[in-house]
Amino acid sequence: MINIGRYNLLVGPSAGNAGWLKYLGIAAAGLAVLWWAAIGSQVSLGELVKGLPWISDFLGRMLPPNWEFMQKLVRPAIETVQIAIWGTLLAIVLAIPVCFLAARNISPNLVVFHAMRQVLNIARGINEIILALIFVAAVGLGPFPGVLALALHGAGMLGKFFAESIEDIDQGPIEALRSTGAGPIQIIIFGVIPQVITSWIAVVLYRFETNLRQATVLGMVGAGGIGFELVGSMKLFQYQDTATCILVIVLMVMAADYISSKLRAWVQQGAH
Amino acid sequence: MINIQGLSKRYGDFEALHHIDLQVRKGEFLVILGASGAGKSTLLRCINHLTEPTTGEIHVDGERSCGDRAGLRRVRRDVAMIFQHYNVVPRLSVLKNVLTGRLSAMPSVLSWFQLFPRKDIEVASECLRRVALDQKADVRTDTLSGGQKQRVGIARALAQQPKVILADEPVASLDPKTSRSVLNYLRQASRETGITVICNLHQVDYAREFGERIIGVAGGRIVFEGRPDELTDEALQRIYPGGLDPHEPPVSPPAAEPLTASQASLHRPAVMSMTQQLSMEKS
Repeated sequence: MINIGRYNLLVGPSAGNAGWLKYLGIAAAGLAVLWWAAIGSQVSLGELVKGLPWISDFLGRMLPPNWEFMQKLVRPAIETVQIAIWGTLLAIVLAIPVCFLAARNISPNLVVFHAMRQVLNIARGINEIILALIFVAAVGLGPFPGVLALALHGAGMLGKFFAESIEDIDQGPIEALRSTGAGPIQIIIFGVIPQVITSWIAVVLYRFETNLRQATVLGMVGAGGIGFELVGSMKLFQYQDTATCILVIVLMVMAADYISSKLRAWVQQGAH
Repeated sequence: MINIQGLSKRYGDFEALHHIDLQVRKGEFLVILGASGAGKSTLLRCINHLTEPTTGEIHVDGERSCGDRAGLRRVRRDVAMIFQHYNVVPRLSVLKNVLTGRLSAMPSVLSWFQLFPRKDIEVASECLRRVALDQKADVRTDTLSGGQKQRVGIARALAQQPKVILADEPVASLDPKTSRSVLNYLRQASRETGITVICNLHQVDYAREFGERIIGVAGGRIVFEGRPDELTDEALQRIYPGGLDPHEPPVSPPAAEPLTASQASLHRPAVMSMTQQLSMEKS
């Protein structure tokens, strides 16, 4: 506590003044980490200012966007959505059986619990682009390796979120169902799922948005979608085409955000 | 109906229940009375093995209940439970919550796909009528009031068509008027169906009003057993040992300075009948 005129700065215990020294130490340590990271990553305001003319030159070449190019983007844009849909769906299918085993309160035993957590960590730990590179090598160029990459990475993320929302549920209804003599799968269906379903749907919709964003860049490594056109136009120095690609991607992401927020609201009011 | 012999439960060094012997007749409405932490909940939860007893035998309807897989399923089908916090599933409809009481009796795989036998739905509807909630069958359960949720809890227990209902502080979170109504539904259902009810309460006046027989529990032991009219102040002293003498101020650390008027008014009036004080206690 520090007295400032008629006010007390309440950090640490409410009496005495020893507490705030600790917070000062934490603040100093935080600043030191930021400084250290800035040196390593060469964060520099000077460099940014020096680069501004180049950035404006680049933007100048992008404007105006090449509207003609738009019609060539329709098919890749649709393909991107298709990749995102199947990437999300397969991710859900992979995540659901794992998430119950990876939830501390439902998992049959601790060994299974920790093993499943690690499986999810590995799936989530590898970036989609790297997974796409591996799958392109395995099944060839095209959108399908993109789907597989999104499915595997997405399963890791969905599985973790699903499991965590299961760990947050009210145990009371579970105990009540157990006391009626219901079996384990009945307990999951009538006790767990109704409690987690809205948060699951929210996470799935968020994952679909993320997948759509990721699907736009999967094309860079030959895994289909609009990213292929984006990278192609940059390689050919057709920056006005690049601008059109970026515009379409932004529109797609905005549309996905809008639709998913509407769906979330609908689900949360929704029926039983 | 229920025969408990030498039931003990230890948590590490703490003995929650100490060698309990208890017989309950068929169709009886038995109230277990005691302070928070006296072991009432543990006693109930041992009967349907939500808590595993350390030693002792429990017979339900002549059959020894045990904690293995088959034993659990059998005892939990015969023994239903009602909880203090209702423990209804919030986002399911009222009818589906009641139907969950029938889950152990219906084909498991069909129930996963929300396919219920018609006779089970009829049983559930009948149980909803008993607690006067048949108008609310298709409403989501989280839209109900506390008293209504507990009536869903009672209907779910009845839907199990059990031999025994265990009610663990069923009205501790409800106001007095709602509490009486909920207990009335429970007593009426017990009378009409012949189901044995064992009900944990900490409010003395409800225990007197609803119990056919009262068991007093303190410190993990049975310290009183008898009809409501035998529950004297002397017996209450045994059930609530040491505490709540109405002529002594509540036990609190000595205050450094005198209380202001507004602070003092937050405290209970010093003189109050024991029964009143006890019924104010919440677990």
